[in-house]
Amino acid sequence: MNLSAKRVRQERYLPHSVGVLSCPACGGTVQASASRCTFCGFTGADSMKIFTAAPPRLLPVSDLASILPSSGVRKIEASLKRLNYRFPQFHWRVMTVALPRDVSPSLFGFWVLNAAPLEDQESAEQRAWTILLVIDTSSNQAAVIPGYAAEPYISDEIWKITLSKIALPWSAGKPTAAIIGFLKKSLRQLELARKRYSVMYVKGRSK
Amino acid sequence: MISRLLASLLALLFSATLTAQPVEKNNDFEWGPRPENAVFDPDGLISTKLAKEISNGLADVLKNESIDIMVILLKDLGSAPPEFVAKRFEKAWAKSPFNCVVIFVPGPGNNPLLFPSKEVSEYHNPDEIVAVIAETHKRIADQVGDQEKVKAAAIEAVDMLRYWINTVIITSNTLRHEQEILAYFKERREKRIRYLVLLCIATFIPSVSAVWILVTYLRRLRPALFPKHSLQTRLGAPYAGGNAAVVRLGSRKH
Repeated sequence: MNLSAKRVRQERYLPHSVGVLSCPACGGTVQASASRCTFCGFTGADSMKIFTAAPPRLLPVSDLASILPSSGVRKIEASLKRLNYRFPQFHWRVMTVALPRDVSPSLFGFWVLNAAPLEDQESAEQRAWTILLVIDTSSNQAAVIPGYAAEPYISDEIWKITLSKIALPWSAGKPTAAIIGFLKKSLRQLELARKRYSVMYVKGRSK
Repeated sequence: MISRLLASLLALLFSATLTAQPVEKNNDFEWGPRPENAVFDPDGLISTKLAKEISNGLADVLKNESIDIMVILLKDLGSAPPEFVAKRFEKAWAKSPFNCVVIFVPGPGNNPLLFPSKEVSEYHNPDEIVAVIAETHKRIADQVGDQEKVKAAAIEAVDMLRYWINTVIITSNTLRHEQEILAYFKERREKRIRYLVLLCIATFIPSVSAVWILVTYLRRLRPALFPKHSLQTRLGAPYAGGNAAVVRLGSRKH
């Protein structure tokens, strides 16, 4: 789906909304606090059956597909550091992986985010504030999977717009530049989200 | 007994008081109109040659420098004070506001006396003028012989007036120059103030914009927090509910 810039501008001024809750398996709408998808019956436990291997560690940069040079990893980590300074609540994780053909990166990301053990000095709350970028080199797809705490501030549509910007450097064979570009645009989206939230917060407080 | 001169002077004074005429040049003056010579010697108290020599010199001075020196040689002033007599002559015969009357009554112990006009002494310290005149009188008195004294008095009168008048001119020029300088600096200051005001106005908006941009940028450098909210888990997943954005990137160039 390709959203127009006009729609993005409109959303900037729309009341805050998390968007539609969707099932990672079938994409169907899920009710908040539902234990399973009403369309396909998917639950979190089902992901453990799909991905039987041990989940990879959720490090800031996990180049499982080995497409990033060491200098590129360092640059990405520096970008993550800047993001983390400006918005310390959000935890960013970047993972490149070569998935089997029939596995979507969103489902993989859902599984990793929930199943990967907490790292040292990582709390459950921090995991809920995590935003995971998964790049599947097999299908040339990218997915952004936000945790519960990070979900409300940027909708999936905005994430799609942000992700689509990295297609060009990716196609040019510059994965590092693509990821750094995504992080920069994410910073911009968070700035807008914060501004949007500040306006709403002031309005709410004045009531 | 009242002398002829004194009687005439008193009559003139009386008539001036009655008619209140400011100057009775040449009309009611008892000595009549001013003669051609600058040296008035009705009684021939000095030689004609000397009188002519002095007159020619004083005529040149009057012509070139507008300094009028009148040398009055009289036998007797009666009881009128010399200053009074000098004023009368000045009033009647002066051709320039910058004048000096030299009164001389030859006789043992008598010396020419100089009486400069009010205009000459107006711009100077009165005490200084008195002192200068006193010194001049002394120098004149040092001359031997009446003729020498008269000549010296004429020369001293010219020099004295030249000095005072030039001082006034220089002072007035200096004053005018100083005023011009002050006016110049005042104008320059006003011009600078005008430029400064225009500069402030012209730079006000850019300055405010720059400050606003700087403040916005600095605010962005600080950590920003979003409010916490209650987490609602779903699908039995502890940390993420499955919402995701997926985008096809296209094949990658190796």
